[in-house]
Amino acid sequence: MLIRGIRCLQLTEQCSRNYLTLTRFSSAYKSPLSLDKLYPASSGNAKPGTKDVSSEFSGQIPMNELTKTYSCSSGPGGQNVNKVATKVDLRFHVESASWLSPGVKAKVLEKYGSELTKDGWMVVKSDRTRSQTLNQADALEKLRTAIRSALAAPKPKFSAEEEERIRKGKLKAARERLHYKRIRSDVKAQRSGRDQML
Amino acid sequence: MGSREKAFQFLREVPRLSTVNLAKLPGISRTKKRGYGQNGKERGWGTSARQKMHYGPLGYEGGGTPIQTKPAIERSYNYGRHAVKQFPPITLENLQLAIDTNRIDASKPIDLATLSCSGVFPIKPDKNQFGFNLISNGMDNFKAKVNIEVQWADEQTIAAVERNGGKITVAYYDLHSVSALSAPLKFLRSGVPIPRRLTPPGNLLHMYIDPAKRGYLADPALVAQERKVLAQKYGYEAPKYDDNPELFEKNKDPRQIFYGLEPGWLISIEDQTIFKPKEEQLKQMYST
Repeated sequence: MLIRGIRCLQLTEQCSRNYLTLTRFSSAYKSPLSLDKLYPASSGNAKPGTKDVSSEFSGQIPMNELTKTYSCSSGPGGQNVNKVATKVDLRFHVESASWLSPGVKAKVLEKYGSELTKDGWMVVKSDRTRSQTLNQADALEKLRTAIRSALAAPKPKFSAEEEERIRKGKLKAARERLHYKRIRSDVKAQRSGRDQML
Repeated sequence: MGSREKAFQFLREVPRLSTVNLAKLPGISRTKKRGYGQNGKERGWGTSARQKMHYGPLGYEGGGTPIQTKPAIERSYNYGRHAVKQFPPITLENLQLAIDTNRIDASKPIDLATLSCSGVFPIKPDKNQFGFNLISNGMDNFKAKVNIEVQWADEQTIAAVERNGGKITVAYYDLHSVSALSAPLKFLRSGVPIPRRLTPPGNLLHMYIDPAKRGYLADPALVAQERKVLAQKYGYEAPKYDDNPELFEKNKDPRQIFYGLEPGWLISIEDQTIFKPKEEQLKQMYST
């Protein structure tokens, strides 16, 4: 029988539970290239997620809060498009969404209120590609873009310099118009004084 | 100063010598002048002024071969082709099929040895094949929960594996290690001590230290972070490996080829024994 790897190493306190369990059953052999020597300060665990601030959206969406429906896509494709459920439909009820902070929710309702269903559900669909996985990713991207655009400050049509230039341009146009108007009215006035030249 | 010393002094002072600096030997003519035919003293332009105004056809460059006429010569088409590392592909569809037909046991970690010994996915190290590239064909229908170690993978493949709660690692094996791992019993019976697995070459290192590609040399914390990011991108819950320790906790050191066997060990299958190196020099070599 082949010798089994010797279990258990020195477990440091800094290691999180996940990293502990990863090393618990590995063999005793640790070369200088082993991960705990390459990254001694690493906890082995992902950093914890932060809660969304009132008016910000980090992009994080809990997947169990979305209702996902898969159906057949439209368009050409013969037997494959008729049989394979590649279209993705994501829905969530905006008012009762606990993952949207109140500030974000208000802005989303303001922008997309008229686009929600009668019962207040926001619907995002995608049948852009031939793959359900990629369509789901596309739908989620659409959802995130929609929420971010609701939060974005309305951009002014012109910048401050452009506004100033437009204002000056209007004043100049008015000045020139009056200047030529006066010239023309002088010409008309001189025409009427024909009798004086005799 | 003798002529020898003079010559050495000269060589020290002059700029670097090349064929451009050296004077030609007297009497040797290098250039071959081409003629212009029997009556070619006007160089093809004729005698009268009107003839000289013709200027030649479009593209004429004064007599030498014009660029549009020069033959296309491929100086080097197959340069370096012998040195290109190959990673023959395995589709997720074929992997699922192999698992469903019990060719591969999904309850144990899958590595190059499992795939090669299943008989379904051959690997030929003498054809410069360094391992398998798991590609995403059939990712929508991939349902198996596996702990798989391959040599190349893309983002969609990683998402497909992790969506089902599985784990994927991308690890490099040099050719000698690939030969050993792809035919393990043959190697172990050959009487060669297990070598150290070499580190990836510089041009491939970007893959193996990248946490987004689940490289085996990447920071585990960053890899865990990337798992969460990918789960958010493709819309599934990030996988957790706590509940199935037998499947997910077997790890290979970057210098290890076989699970549980160290470099330097000499295995005798017939005698059921392991011979470990005792000499200090050997021990040091295998532990670097």
